[in-house]
Amino acid sequence: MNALTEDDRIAVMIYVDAEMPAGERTAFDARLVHEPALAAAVARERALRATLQSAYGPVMDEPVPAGLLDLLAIPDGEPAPAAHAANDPVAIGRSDARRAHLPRAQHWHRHWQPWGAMAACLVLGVVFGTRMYAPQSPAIGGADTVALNVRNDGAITAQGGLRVALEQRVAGTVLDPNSPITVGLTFRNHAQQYCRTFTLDSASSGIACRQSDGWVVAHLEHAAGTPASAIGVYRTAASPYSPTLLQAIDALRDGDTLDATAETAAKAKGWKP
Amino acid sequence: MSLSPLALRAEIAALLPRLRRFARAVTRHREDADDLVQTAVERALKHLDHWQDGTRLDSWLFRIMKNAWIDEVRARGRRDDVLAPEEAGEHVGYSDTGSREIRLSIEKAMGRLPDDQRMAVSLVLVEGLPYKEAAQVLDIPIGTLTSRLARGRDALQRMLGDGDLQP
Repeated sequence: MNALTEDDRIAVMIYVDAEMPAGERTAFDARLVHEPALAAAVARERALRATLQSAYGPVMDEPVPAGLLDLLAIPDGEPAPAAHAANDPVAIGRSDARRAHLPRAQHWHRHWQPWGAMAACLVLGVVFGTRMYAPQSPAIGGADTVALNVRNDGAITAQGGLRVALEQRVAGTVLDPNSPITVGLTFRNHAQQYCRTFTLDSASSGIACRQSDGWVVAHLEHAAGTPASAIGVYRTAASPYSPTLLQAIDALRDGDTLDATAETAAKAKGWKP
Repeated sequence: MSLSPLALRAEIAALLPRLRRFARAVTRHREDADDLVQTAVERALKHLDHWQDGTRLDSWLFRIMKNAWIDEVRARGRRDDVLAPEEAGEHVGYSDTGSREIRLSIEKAMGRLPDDQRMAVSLVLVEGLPYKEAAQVLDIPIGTLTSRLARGRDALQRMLGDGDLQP
């Protein structure tokens, strides 16, 4: 029943797997036009590939078990990079400003411990991991970081390293203090969805809220016009909140921010309201 | 550029979803899969210095997983008893046309492939590794990889029923 020769079957396979040398590929493309059996075999192999990917794709969206993440968490005693020095006066000034905005300071306080829970957050994805399997859709983000996608309906959704960070990060663990992506505060909006603040890099930050189909960006801002080197000084991991971001939090939030226990519980429920 | 152990940990963490996906295909069981990822990550952390700059970290981890799985299968001994896919055959059915096309779910069909073919198919078709990388992960020449891929694919196409695939 199989009309193809053994050589052609292999050719179909390496063609579909993008392993065919460019020169041969041109000739093979030409054959496909005139040989329906060959073209059908290519279509079948492509369908198999697509079927396999859709069958195993959902694993990528499952929450990673805490036990696995814990293996990779960095112990508390790990020294922090000098750039995020504990007594950064700018960070401390910001801290005071923020308390004025948000009265119940006890839940927030930990976020201002230098390399405490806030700064020492679990940062995932980031430049290296996403580089290896960047999605094919157009994306906005840092040079190597695929972080945001614009959905068909115009909504901006978190992708790649940012999505993983929003989904996985809870207070108290850190994976890479050098990563540009951080997740900060968690709170509920008026629809009772969980929202989390994040920074993409030293200049970009925002708020994403967990909807049924993923993290949708509710607020995004970019500190334009400031040299990156200067931003790096002011927007360290310990001071990621601009006044406008804080206003956005206040406008969105319904109730207090979550403490570490509540964050862990919310994560365990898949951030479902 | 050399990566610090901290950066490597972050990279490995970022790869966890893919490691779990590969493990799911390799082990065919959810719990076994996460156990395998855990074993592999523990081994990787113990030997971070074995990873060479300039090589792919995902391939390195897949290779560790493959070796860990071989060890696991050996340790269990009764591999076929313990690890045969559950309910194999239960979902065998007939197509609407009445021909005896076997229509299995893709995971069950994958589960019926021999380990070596399933790993090759998973690395190339699901994980998207180039042949060269996949061959290194499996410690085989590219020719062997190609033939495992061809056999694995043929078997899958047969099990799933030609023309019956839903992308």
